[in-house]
Amino acid sequence: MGLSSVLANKIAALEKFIQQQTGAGKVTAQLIGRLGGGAIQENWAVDLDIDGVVHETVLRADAPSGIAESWGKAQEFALLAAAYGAGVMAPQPLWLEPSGGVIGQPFHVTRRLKGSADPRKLVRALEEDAGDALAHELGAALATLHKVTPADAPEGLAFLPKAPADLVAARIARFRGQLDRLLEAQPVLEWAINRLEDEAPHYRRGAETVTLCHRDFRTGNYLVLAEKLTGILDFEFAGWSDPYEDLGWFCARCWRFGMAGAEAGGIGSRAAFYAGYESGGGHVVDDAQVRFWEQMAAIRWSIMALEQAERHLAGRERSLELALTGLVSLETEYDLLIDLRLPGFKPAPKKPHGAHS
Amino acid sequence: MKQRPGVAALLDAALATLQEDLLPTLSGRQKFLGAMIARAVSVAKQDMATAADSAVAERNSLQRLYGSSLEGDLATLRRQLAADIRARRFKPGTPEDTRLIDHMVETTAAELRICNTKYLAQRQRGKGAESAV
Repeated sequence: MGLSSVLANKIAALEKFIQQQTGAGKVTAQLIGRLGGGAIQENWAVDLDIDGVVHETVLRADAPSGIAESWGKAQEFALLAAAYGAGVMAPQPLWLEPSGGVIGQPFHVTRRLKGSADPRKLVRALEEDAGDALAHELGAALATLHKVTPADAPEGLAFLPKAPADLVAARIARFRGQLDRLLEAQPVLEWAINRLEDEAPHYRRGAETVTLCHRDFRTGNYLVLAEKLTGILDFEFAGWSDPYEDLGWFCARCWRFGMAGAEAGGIGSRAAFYAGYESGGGHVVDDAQVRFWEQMAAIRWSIMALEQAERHLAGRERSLELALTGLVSLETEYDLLIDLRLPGFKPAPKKPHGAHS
Repeated sequence: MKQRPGVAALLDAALATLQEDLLPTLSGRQKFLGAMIARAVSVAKQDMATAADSAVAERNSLQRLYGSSLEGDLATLRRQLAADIRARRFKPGTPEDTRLIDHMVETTAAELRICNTKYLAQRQRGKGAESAV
């Protein structure tokens, strides 16, 4: 049974929960419809009439089978609160129901922002100037998130594990562990992982560079209205990391949705994105670092795509969309075979980078 | 199957009916689901047409890479290859490494010819370096 029918049956319970949370006299909930972008999450537009004032909200619950790397609702709520509190343009977190006792699974409610997140429509609709302006805005928004550091983190983030001392090595170890759990061997990914492991010493940075990172910051995970950014979404993978992991993820070829020439997210230029990041208070962007993490992103996404197909194959969740996602891995593998042998992936610099470039 | 029309013709007819008669009448989520079904059928069709040749080509390529005749099914051989790569059996810059990369490029391209020819063509056309910043 989908969440749709579950929700329709649980409207009264939802209304009661919101009433308890707000202390309101009367709450009426109206289910508007399912929102897009839900391979891992299910998002529902819900209008809440609270004592006569209508609030446009989003109710977000886990899809039937999540993926291991993503946080549960309570942690995602805390991450969203930290980002929102730091001034990141993101949906305002309102209420959390972590027990699953109200609608059958944990959920949280946020304010609903206007705009569309559809990546394919967006990358094709934007002219060059508008795309660069948006890339600039996104760079600045990312820099705002990266101002949150372990030293000044809000208490709500205490659950986040410390960043490993050697972040690249930890990511690589994780990739290999994930490959070991897949049923089919992946020679291309094994090769690409070796290649990046060999380069890794040049891209290792100190613990002082670690910040709060979104870890899924890409086109498709932000809302745009009239060519302007209205909000960053989907904090379910966030954690302490090297900010270059986010910058590389955003620019990675696999997240350009066919617009390979617009190297920042399929929407704009690297120059505009980097400039936005610097103007938002981020450090000066080292292009070589971004490109290294783009290749790390390609491996991470390739493995995630294979895992998504596995969710379908293992019978946890029948979904043609998940099954077809497994095929996307081939595109990224082909990219890795080309990009790791061409100057697009810059050869390692002569000397290791300093803590802050 | 021996019985005419045969599997390939059935898939052709199913795909054409879906794309020409059904998809134009759909919208929204139904259209999205219909397009995904068309994609899956088209991949199955392409795979059926080329699977036997691809398997032979992959095995031959692996035999060239290892310089010997290989026993076992392709899944097992791929597992062995992956393990050898992880164990760093192919040293960068050696002829074996070059043969390994050629093998991987060719097998990945063969798979892409089954499920995404357009992507393969795009990458082969514009495979240069990315912009400098």
